[in-house]
Amino acid sequence: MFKVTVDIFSGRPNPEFLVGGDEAKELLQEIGRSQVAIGGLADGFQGLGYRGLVIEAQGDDFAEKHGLPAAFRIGHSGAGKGAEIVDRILGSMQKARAVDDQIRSYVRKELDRLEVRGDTSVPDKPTAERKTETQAEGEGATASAVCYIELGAFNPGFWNDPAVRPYNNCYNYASNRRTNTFAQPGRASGAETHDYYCPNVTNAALADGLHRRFDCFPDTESPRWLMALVIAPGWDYHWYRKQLEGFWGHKPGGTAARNTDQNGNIVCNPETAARGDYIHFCGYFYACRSQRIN
Amino acid sequence: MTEVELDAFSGRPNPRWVLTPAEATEFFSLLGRLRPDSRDARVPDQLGYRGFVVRADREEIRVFRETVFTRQGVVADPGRALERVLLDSARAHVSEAVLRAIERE
Repeated sequence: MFKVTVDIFSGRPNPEFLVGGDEAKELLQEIGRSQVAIGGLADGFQGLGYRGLVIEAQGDDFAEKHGLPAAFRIGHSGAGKGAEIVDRILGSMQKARAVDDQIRSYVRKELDRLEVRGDTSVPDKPTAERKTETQAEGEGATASAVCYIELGAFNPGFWNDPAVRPYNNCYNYASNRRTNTFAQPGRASGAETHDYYCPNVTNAALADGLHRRFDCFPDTESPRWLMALVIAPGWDYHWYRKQLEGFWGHKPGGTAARNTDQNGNIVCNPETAARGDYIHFCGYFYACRSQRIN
Repeated sequence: MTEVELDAFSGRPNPRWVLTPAEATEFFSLLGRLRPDSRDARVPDQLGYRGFVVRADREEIRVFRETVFTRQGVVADPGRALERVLLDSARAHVSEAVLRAIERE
């Protein structure tokens, strides 16, 4: 079940509607097939007027079940099948009298404008792209492994909203799962550790379902984000995630997500980036759709 | 209630505890005697130690070395007295290893 909010008004309340059952399942499947159409809550036009639809999970298994964020925006850009999906949702809302014809027509006009002109407030690139990466022979394998991964566009706004920034840490960011629980590796799987060394935090993350790099996930586990783990031995851990633009993003605790290191340089390689006391590089991992995280 | 958070970690949660009434009185008394900081100070957001965050009555105060960030502005604590008060208050709540690391900052 999810809640839809048509984000259009400034003073009066925005129309809201609950979608459940088979209709919710079908819509979410369609949204899942067109993930370029969705964005973070801070994405898109934020001024007066139509700002898209906000979809919010009502159940805590939403993200696991559907491979979608617990809250996201759709129909705020001309990307993918957003317009089609929004119009379908509004059709249901109109039948249930949650919106009237005036609002539906207004939103349709705005969607047409976005499709024709393109929304300049969001990047004109897909949210995520599938890539291959190849393990060369001699890197611990008898034959080359070729794995498919996904790289997402750098979107710090999704993480830096003051309402969510303090409640999501490096593990949330690198896994690309905004749980608002300051997630700990292994906690969702009964394998949390308080020994902050590479083998311990690695095992905790593997218990959550991550794979070591080049232990490929099938396409059914997409999105498969590429993550890197570093340790301040006995003290703490930190994670990075590879972004579509080629650099790595990260989020030190409750601070802002960023793509720069301690020296202010873009993180091109987490192994060599300035990391303060986080001196041990533990390795690379893949997140997966069925990753448990809390 | 005056809550303190030691903001030092990236992955693991930051330790938090509540000041005793005497500790809170000492903290705010010292804070009240500090003067504005004329230097261009940035709220620390790097990996590693980022100071203590004190929260009370919807006020949030960050103490980082000689600089104290409040909603009303930045004040200077050249003797790091506020930091020492908070470090002393941490002893009952934070492990020896963490305390030793913060004392070296």
